[in-house]
Amino acid sequence: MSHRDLDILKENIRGNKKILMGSAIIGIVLLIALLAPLIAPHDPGAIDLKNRIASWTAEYPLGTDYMGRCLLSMLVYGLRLSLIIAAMVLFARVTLGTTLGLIAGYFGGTSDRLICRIIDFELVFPDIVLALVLVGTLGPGIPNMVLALSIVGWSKYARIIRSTVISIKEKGFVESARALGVSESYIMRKHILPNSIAPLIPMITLGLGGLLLSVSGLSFIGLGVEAGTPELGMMIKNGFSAFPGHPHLVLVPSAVIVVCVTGFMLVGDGIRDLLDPRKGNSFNSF
Amino acid sequence: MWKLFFRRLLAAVLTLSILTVFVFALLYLYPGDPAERILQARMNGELPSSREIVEELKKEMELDAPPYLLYLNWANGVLHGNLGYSYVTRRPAATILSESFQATTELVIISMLIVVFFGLSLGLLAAWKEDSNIDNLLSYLAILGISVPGYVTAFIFILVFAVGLHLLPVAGRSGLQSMLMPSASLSLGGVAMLMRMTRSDTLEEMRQDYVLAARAKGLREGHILIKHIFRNSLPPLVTYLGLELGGLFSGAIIVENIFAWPGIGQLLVDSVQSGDIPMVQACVLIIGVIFICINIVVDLLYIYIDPRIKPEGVL
Repeated sequence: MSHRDLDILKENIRGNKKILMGSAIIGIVLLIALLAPLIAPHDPGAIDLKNRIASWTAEYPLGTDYMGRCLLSMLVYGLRLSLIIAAMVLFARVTLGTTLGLIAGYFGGTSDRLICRIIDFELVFPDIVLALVLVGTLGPGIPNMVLALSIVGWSKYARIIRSTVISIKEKGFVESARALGVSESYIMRKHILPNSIAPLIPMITLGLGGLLLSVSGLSFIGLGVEAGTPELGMMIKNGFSAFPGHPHLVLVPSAVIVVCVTGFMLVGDGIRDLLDPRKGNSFNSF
Repeated sequence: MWKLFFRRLLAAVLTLSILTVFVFALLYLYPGDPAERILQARMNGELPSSREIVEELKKEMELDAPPYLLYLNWANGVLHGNLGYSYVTRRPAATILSESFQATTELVIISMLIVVFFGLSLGLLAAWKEDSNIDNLLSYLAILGISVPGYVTAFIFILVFAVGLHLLPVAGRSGLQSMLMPSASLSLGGVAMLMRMTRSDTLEEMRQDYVLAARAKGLREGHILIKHIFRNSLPPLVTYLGLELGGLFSGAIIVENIFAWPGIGQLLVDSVQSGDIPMVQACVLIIGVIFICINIVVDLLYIYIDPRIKPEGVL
């Protein structure tokens, strides 16, 4: 994986149907999330007990939930919140994973053995179990949820970075930088890191999709955001209490999650096809 | 082989001991005084009425002892099969756990069979008909299958098969019928993943020289696909199946909660929510042990299937 691969990737992105479809979905989703205050007709928390589980009207375009809250407004704000939480966790995971992978791969020795042991442990144990136990212990809420999800799930990034760094650090340009007397931290930041990032790109896109599922899943079982927060998983949880009587209260937020995740999966998958032509669809341009 | 086995076992014991420390630390991670929480859990959430009751319980359970002594005590109990007593029901945690474990295992085994059967056969079909309409359709269905969380599939199944057609029970555990919807919704993502992996691994093998040689010998295509190509693409699939088995156990957490399936997932969520720490510890411990065992078995199977692999560490 090198700059050349990135260039090939850039050239081929346009012709890839999966990436195009996925980007279109992500674009629309992000636009909706960004413009949430403009799109939502109501305050997502505004309770209207006279209009509980109302059907579609001009005032409530998608009807209301069991507390009379506007479903469309909750969806739009819920989407925004779910995306923000997922992005925060992803950022933390990638930073943690990259840093540890870089240290382990570059320095080797004891730090490598120690970090590998932690990675081993983290890989063995399911993310969602640790996360839900931690949220349950610390109490529901966005900060606790972000913390719990960030502590787990970083090891796959660390492992990839570590192995890439090991293969890069023996390359000529690193040797020559070292011969020139460049400091270790400069070599790590300016030479090693930029050249090891590429394999993370599909992982990050796929990871964001997976995180949307984890975030909404945790909220759904009551170990995520606090009750009453407009978040997609929480909406499904609330709708489920009236299930199967009013299936749209569950199915509409579910559909939003599925569409979002599909968008990220399509893009991640498309990029992976391009970067690794032996797997998946064959691209003649390689 | 044996040397490797013992090395793996040693690594597993190490992982397990890290896990037990984490599990034990849960007692201190929970906010508030452990003794107060025990009483609170016993009295359905009401705060203990007086300080004396709390102190009495502390003395009774020796909660004032230093943490490392409590840990050794607890670990000793665990080694003897004593996982403590549930704060809420006061029954032995090990007994409650074994009942739930059985329910979850049933669900996971059925789901695993679905994953293996449909994942492998659809993957082979897609590779066989590469770049055809079927292949393209399956490829998009796979992405959808991965993107749809188990709970959404579960809702749709409930609406169609339980509410609409009255074919299957909505929830609960009562025979094979009640197992169909939970295991189907649990396995969908796995089917999609395995299908994609089977497809890409098979395609990679198809381009090898030995396939050409087999064709030149005049062997039937079906024979080459199953006996030559498939056999050679097995090792990565076995690793994946190990991961998937673990994935099914963690996926069961949400699915069990939807279908009121009395398994470990539901037990864990209920215990976490009621602050029943011994039960939480027991659940996390058993899930950890399951995952560690799966890892060892996968590593050994991998070597058995592909003898070329030199016994090296995972990393």
